[in-house]
Amino acid sequence: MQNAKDSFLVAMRDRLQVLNAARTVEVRGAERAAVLVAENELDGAAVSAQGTAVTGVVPENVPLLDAFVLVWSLLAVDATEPMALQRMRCEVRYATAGTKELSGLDRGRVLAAMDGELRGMLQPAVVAKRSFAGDAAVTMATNVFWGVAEFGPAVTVGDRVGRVATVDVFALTEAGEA
Amino acid sequence: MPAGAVVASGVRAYFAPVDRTNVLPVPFDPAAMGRFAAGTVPAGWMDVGRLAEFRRGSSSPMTQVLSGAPAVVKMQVRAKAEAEVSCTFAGWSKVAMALSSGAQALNLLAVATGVNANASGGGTVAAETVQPGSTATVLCMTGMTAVQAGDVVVVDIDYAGETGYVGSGAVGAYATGWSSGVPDVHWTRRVSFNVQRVLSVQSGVVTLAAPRMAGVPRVGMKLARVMGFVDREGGPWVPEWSGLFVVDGVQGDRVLWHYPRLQPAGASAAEVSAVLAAGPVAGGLERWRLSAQMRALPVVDANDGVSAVCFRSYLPAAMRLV
Repeated sequence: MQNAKDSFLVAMRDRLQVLNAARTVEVRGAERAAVLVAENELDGAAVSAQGTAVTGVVPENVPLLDAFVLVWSLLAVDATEPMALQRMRCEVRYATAGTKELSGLDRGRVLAAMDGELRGMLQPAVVAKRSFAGDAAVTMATNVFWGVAEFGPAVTVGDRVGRVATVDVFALTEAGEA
Repeated sequence: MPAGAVVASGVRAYFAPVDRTNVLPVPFDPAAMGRFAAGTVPAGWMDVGRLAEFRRGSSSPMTQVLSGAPAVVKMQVRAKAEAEVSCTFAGWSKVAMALSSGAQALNLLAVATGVNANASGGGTVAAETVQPGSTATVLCMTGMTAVQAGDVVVVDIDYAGETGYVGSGAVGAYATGWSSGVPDVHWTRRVSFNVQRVLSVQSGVVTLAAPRMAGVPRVGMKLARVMGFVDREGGPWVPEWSGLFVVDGVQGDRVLWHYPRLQPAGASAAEVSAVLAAGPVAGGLERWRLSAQMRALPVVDANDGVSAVCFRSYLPAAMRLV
């Protein structure tokens, strides 16, 4: 399961860099592509706050806006496949307050741009599964794949607007995998 | 302790080719062989894994014999013995595809450059002769072999225009004579079930992922690369297999349904599709699986000469009342 989650994250991150290399976020003093996994961060609860009220910090009170935060929730296992099929629900949460140049009045446009980026990041809906347990990533024998994302309604909280997109990610359980 | 219901998580299926020339199924004795470990193939049988769905139906009705006025039932007799099995395979494989098609299943052999396109595969590249010293899982080739790890290969004899059942180990076709020209020398390899994935190749030694169905290759057998599998609707070929369906109860009890002879029934080349995962995020993904519908043919029980189409066995859990 972890290999699938890691592979999905890396695919999202790499694809965002191609689609919009300028969309970065500074986390713990390091600038990186604006795709994070809530459970991997020091203040996971903050970055994964419900709905679009992404008012948390990562860390040092830096508002986490204009970034895609992945929150893993449901896990189901389909044992009818010869290799058990794991289904993991991923909520992609993102919000924006618009740009400073336009005093945030363009937040709807920025959100639409992020919607488009996310759709692009999710295509193609398959990526080779890799293990990142060692020093170098190892490509495994099966692919991670996912369905069409379901985009929730845009919600405005204060000067911010955001939404949650949900996608089910699937992966077959290879020998030796948890 | 009283015996309860058999509680299990699924049905596992095993199939074996029937000796068509002698109408001789692969033997299976539930008393002697019934306790084989799940997934461990009894001799002559192939494990096709757990089924996604298994249904069996019996059409062996009783007919009343009436007498008197008003008529009353004096006795009953069994009008006929007929049974059908239908199943959905969890995974795609050569055998599952052949069982599902209920017709001619062929291997798509690697084609030579520039040959005419053909729906079941065109003219193939030259096959490589398997050298002496080979086993069911290790094939000795020359150092010049083109086979690579990860390839799928078939090993069988050349076809020389003979008539009768064709294919080593498992029959893949019946040659009745050819009105439109004799097939090429690769035809046996096109219909053969001796197909395996190549695990490794080293200095001309090809190691297969699993034993070849027909065991040690005979002298003169040749190897060809397989790109995939194809079945076709049409043609007279009717395949026949033995089927063994096993349910392992969580208490150690076991139920076996043994169909010594199964032939296709109903639609051929059937598959089913369903939404991969139900729920609010369906995601547009569908899962395609092979399904098969088969009719049971009779064999004669050597104990008493009775014809039967299916043998259902129950092996009780330890210390349960029977």
